[in-house]
Amino acid sequence: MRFLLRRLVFYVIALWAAITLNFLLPRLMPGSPLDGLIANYGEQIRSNPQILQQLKASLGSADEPIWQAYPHYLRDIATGDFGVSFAKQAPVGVIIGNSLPWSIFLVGVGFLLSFVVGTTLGMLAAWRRGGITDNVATPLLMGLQSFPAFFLSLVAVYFLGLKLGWFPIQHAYSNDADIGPNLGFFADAIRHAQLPVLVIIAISAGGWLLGMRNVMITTIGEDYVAFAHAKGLSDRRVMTQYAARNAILPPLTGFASFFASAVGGLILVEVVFSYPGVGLTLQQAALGHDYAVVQALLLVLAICVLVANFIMDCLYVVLDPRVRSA
Amino acid sequence: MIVVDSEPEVPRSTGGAREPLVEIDELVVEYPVSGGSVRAVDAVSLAIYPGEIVGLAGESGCGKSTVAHSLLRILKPPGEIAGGRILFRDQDVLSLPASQLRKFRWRNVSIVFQSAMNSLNPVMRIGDQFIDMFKAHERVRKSEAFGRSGELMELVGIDPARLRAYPHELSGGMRQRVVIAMALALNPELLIMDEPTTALDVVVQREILREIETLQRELGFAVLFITHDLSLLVEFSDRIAIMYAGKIVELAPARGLFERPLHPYTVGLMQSFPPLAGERRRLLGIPGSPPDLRAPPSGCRFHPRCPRAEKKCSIDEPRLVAHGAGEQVACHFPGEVS
Amino acid sequence: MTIGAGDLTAGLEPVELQPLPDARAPRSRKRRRIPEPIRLLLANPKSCFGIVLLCVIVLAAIAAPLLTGHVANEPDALPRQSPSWEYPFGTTDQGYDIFAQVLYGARVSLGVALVASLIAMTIAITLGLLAAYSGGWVDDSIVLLTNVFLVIPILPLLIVISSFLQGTGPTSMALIIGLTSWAIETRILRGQALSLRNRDFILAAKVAGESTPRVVFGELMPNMLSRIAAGFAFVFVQAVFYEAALEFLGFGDANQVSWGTTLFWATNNSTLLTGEWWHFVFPGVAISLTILAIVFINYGIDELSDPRLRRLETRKRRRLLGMLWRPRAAT
Repeated sequence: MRFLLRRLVFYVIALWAAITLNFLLPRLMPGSPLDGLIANYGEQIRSNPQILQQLKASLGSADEPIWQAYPHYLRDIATGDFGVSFAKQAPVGVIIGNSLPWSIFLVGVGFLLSFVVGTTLGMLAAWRRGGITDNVATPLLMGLQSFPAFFLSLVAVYFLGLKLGWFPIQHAYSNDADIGPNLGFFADAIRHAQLPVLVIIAISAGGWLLGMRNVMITTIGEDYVAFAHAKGLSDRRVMTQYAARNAILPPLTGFASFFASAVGGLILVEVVFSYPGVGLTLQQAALGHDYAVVQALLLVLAICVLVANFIMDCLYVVLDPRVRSA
Repeated sequence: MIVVDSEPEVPRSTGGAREPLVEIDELVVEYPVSGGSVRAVDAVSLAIYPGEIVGLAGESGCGKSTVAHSLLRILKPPGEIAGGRILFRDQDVLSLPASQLRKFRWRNVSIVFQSAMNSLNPVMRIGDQFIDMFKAHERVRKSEAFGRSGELMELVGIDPARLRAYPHELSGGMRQRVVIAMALALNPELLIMDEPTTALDVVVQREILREIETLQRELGFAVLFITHDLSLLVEFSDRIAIMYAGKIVELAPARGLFERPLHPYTVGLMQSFPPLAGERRRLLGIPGSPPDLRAPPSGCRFHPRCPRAEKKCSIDEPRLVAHGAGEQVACHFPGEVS
Repeated sequence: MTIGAGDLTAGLEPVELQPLPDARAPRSRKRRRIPEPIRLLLANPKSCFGIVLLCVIVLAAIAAPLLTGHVANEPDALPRQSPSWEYPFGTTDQGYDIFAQVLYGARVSLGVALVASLIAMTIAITLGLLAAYSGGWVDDSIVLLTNVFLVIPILPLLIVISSFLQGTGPTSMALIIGLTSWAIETRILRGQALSLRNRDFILAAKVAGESTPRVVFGELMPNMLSRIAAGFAFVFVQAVFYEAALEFLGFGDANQVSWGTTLFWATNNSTLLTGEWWHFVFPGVAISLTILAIVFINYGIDELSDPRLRRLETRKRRRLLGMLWRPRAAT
């Protein structure tokens, strides 16, 4: 429990760091982003002085010195006031609220599946060194990993979607779908998610596989595995309960850095598939200099990473009894 | 005669003729290395009789653990058994199919490793590991298995309540006892102990050994005791085999070995231990170091370090031959005082 | 190896001890090992393949003017042509030669990635070794900083920075990638340095009075060379990826020719829908092959440093050659 507490403290610190970074970034850039904005969208800004105020607050201006702006900013964050997206003329909170669930859906399904596929294959590949799994799955998935997410997405869209027509190639649901909690909508959404999820598995399962495989190889050499074999336990039991149960722990600890880079892959997949998640929203907003959205999204993404890590930490505590008494 | 599914136990031979329990016959174990392979165990032959304690001694890397692991066929890859036979009561262990091998393991022969902490799965409770073992061999209900585990714990002097604990919650000595309890759970006829006390302090060492002796007298199993600590063996075993560079160089009853070591290597080992009592004498080591098994010395493997070595020794490899009462030695000039 | 000789050395006859085959003093290993790893890497089929592939790509980039007569940044061809002898990779919808774009683009992509990884690895080595060696609050603060950077997702951060910067050319891209991707390697290198720090040869150097920088860079670092090499490869792959990703998303300098920008134009101009697969396949494959090459080299480095991962290969190969065939019991 103390372990979880320590992790929680760290996440709070990291959150504070992310917020502060968010605050400092625009102010650290050479040239003022605010001026750039005014240059691009002068008309809109002049017609709506409130937006100008808000932009000054979040991006920094000569009006307010940093040591005043910072607490101001913190207070805004605490009250959930992320400002207004002037590209879409809607509160940023709403925009995020519309796109986040889709991303979570994609990430949840995609990365969960790739974790399961990857670690299972890694376990099998290590157990039967030189067997079919090791000789086929390992190079295949490792090879797939070399292809950047956006390239694989393009390939998938082009060959599997356009040419072969097996899957829908963009958006989260059909244009004529009946949006709402009904079965038809769910089915439609799942259909649209197939190709992106496939791509996600292709780009990340390899990492899990290799991680698991290498730790398994070391674990197999451990005395307790030999002891379990000597006791006459079945091969499968030793592989799963004795080797894999232990081997999965180190890859899990690497989850933190994995998830941070997984977010990157998610963004690319969403962009190619025009999937209405936070990745696509971020790209559009950043290209359009819609800074309110951009800043808020960076923060939201950081928070998501922290939450995911905390969940993993809890899982780790459940799986490794040694941590509980530490 | 090896356990078949329906039979819970191998019938034990009763008294009478001394038929060996285990016969290791010209065992060869190889490890591949770049450019060839290394024979970690080179034509080793050894018989173990029911109820006796056989010690197997030698330096690190001489192949003694490899012999033990081969008995149970738990050699870590890339090691491979490349030749010879291992018979357990006339049954060929090396050709047992997988399902029979699983039955053979633990019921007939069990093993205790050096580091008990590493022998126990860190993420499973002790009780669960006992139950796993029982369930692998017998059709028992979990509750019954649990009960028997408790009895075994008491046998080695640990509170059965500790079955709920995880391995890291026990001390080193306790873990070692747990492992011993597990090893004796199915009443094996041979218990292999692979450097069981090396990782423990001297006091605990003694306790463990006393316990093994008591249990051995009660249950009557044979013991193959592997160690580099010759002094332990002299006290503890009936017969002792000395290994060097993958071969057995001397095999004799414990007393005889102690009083009249024949092989120069044994002599060297004996002289390496400072006696607590008796007159002070110079401590003599054995000059040189163990050979690189990729290119072992010609003839007798010990000859580069041997004070008695003569020309013959570098050409002709001595075989293990009988030399008096129950003793065997592989040397061209056994027993000559250097 | 003598048993029992222990500490009772008084009056002993001198015993000739031969050094064990593996016990070379780490110092001398520095001078002897440097050619050896490369030799070993070339011997390992996986890393050999990787090295060869990487060399081909780098050489192609350098020799671009020799390999194609066309220019990358001017439209001098008929648009939308599929691959042909004249234009091996086809042309874009604006009439640029894709082969030239891939070759010249390689210079930018690889160059940016190289600079970025140099920056990132320098930071990682400095921070990692410093943290491991100093311990105390220095270590704690560096660890905290590293962990914070580890949880901040890199691509979104890069996107945000690019967005604020009003456009990023290759140099600024190299800079921002380098400054954001040091965290993973810092943690790994710190871990390795920690395990080495308490080894005898470090303590001996300290006792002999060597100054901290000398111990860190003269004793510690040379023993971590293989890990640093693997780390550099990893960061390089990341940098190639991020550079291409940023440009693909539209945050690079669209007038610059690189693999990422070619891909950007491929998607921006809907070449997918018109079936012009060559526009995105070739630059994409180029990126992938570069990454693949380094992954394979890393594979080899992995097997080099952990022998357990490699022994099976030797035996398998020998078996295939029928050298060891004899009936034996399965272990």
